[in-house]
Amino acid sequence: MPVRLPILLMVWTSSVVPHAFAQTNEDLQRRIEELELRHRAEVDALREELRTVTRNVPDGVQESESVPRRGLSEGGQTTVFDNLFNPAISVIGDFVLAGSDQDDAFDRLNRFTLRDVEVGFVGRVDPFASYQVYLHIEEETGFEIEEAYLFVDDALPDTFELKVGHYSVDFGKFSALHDHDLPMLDKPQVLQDYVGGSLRGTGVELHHWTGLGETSTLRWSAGITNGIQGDAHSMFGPAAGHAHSHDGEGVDSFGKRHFENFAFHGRATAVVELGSAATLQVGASIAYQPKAVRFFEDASMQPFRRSFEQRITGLDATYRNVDEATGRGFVLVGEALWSTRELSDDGIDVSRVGAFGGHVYGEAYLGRQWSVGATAGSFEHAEDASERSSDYGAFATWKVDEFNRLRLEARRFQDPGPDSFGISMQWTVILGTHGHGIPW
Amino acid sequence: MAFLGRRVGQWPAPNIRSTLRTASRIAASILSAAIAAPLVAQVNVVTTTPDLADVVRTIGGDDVDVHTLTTGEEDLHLVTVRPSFLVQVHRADVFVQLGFDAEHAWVPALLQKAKNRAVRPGGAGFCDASVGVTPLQVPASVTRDAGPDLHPRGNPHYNLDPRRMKTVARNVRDCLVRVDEAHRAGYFERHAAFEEAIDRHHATWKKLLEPCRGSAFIENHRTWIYFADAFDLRIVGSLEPRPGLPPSAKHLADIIELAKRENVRLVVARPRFAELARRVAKDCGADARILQIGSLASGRGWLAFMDDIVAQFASVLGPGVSEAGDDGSRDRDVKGRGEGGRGARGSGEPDRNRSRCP
Repeated sequence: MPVRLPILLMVWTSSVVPHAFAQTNEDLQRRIEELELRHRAEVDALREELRTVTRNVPDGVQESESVPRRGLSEGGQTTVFDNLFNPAISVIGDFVLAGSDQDDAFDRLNRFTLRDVEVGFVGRVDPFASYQVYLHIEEETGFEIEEAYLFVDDALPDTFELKVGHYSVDFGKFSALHDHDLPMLDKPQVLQDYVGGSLRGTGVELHHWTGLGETSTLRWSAGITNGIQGDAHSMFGPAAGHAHSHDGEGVDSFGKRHFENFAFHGRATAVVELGSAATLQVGASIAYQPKAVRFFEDASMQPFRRSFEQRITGLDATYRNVDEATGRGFVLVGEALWSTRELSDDGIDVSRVGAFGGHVYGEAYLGRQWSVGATAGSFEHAEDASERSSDYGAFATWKVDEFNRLRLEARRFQDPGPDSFGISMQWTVILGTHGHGIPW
Repeated sequence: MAFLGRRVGQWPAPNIRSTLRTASRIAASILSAAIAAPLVAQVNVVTTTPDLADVVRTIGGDDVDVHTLTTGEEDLHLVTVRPSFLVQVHRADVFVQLGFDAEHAWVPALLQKAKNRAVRPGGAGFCDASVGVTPLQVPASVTRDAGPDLHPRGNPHYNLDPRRMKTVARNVRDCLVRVDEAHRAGYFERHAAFEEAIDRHHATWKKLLEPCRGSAFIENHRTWIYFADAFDLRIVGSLEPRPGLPPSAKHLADIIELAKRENVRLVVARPRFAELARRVAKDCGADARILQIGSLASGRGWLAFMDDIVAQFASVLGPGVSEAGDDGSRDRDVKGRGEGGRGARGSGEPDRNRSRCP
């Protein structure tokens, strides 16, 4: 028995211990590798941190004095006029080649047209307001202040905001858009006829929005301006040629302005999310001018004036369903407008015209670059409701990139006169800063 | 007297002591709830990307309520602002953005319209996650001649680098502490644990990609520079001739030639460029991997996303790797596929011999 115990111990030692050592070695090896990797990661992280720190720390206390001056000479005494505080500038060019068998009273068709060069300046005035200026430059008419307004935001409580100056009135779906921002070449014809393309005015406009639950918003605006007049740079349609905004024109020349010379407008719109990709927007708008002055010519071509009352109401709905991951989807828009105009001579009614019109627009996004769409519209003329015009057309848009867009459009026009056809190629270029804004 | 079928006299006699006890308990409950309410209120955080939401959720724990504005599949430069964005940002205590101008097209307008000064730049609740992150691919001259999709402050896709995400984590922690000092200890504790988790995963990822150091690949858009920098990989070309410009036929031919010359084995692209990537990969004999460039809102977070991404790279560039990091395999997440994306061989046939580092 005493002999067998050492033998057993030897057998056990020779079989188990080397295996245990091998296992320990493997563990140690693995542990060393892990530590090595971890150590390398930590060193990398420390190097990264060191780079960050050295990057953010100025070289010396004189650093601020050695910063190169911009806008002034190197020896400038102050940075007050440094252009670091200059407004952001953008330039947009809209180049159109339009062909048609229409009579062209404005010399815009069957030729190249630089329809619009817009120069924009946007910047903060102070912590409470921003200022935005958009200048429109055109080949023939030259220079025009399209919009210039102060936007008071943080000075007002809750989500109230106030627009003060000359601006596109918040009315309907397309009225406030500049022509180069449209999904098609021109403003819908009914909008051109009833409000002159874009309702522009000089005055004040109050905005407010509120959340309806977690996924909906209700926004409204109300404003008062000197008058309501249209502004458009359309190639086709009732406002083709050029229509500048001159709100309240002539009123001052013919005597004292009264409260009824002001125009009022308002809009309420709700946007509701329907799932992860779809939104539905419904809106209602109104613009009302109790009394303005309009000039006519009598038989002997002598000008005379008449009082002019105008009311335009609109309803619009937009359904948008776009997959943000692929850019594919579609948008459908419908808008109906009612126009009422009354002309009178010293309080005696001369005529009252009520007209109705509308348009629909649909666009399918085939991806982030390509889209195809169609529009159609029909309306009774605001001046003479017994006359009616309609149009329909299709377009294809290629967004070459974020700053470069090409569009081909064809359209058929049915007017009281002979029917006509138009085709256009549009090239829009954007330089500099621009915001995509909020689509509401 | 009958009252609802029961005589008044039949009601049990009131026990005043018991009633008082019950009333005092109710009062105490209401009082304690009122006192405790501000203490248990969560910090309402809105982030622009799911990656950032995951970091906030990890560091904030139960002290935060996090919402991400995007799902991770969008082009971050071209997001359409929806009503819920306005509502969420208006109510937010903290807003976290990726920065480096990634969200330049929609976040400034959103922050302005939401009318919540606390979460605007300069406010205590504004967190630019890129602060302190060393940028790469900062353009030498800022001109659109270099491409429409140009970022003057540098490439914004630093979320693909674990080292830089540690800086993000610190920024998030500091911002949460700024608005919610009461839970400082918790934020610091969870932040330390998160950093440790990043280190642990990073070590594993480096180990997986160690055999691939120096390997070349092609990207669709300038996205992967931070990933390549973190793991010593080489980007030899991009399917876009300039950032934001679609490729021309000549450029693609040049890229295919370059890929063959450089022995490129991998072409990576986001899902919407899948067809193009597959076509190029097929022509140059490489693998195409269709990958997201950040975690998805429906996914399992940033670490799991990176596990997937690393596994995808290793599966092509590494020696036939099947493991995917610490916590899982590739084919997972929604719709039965990995969060990082789905691989696709350009040739359509598996070729194990090519799945090796040069």
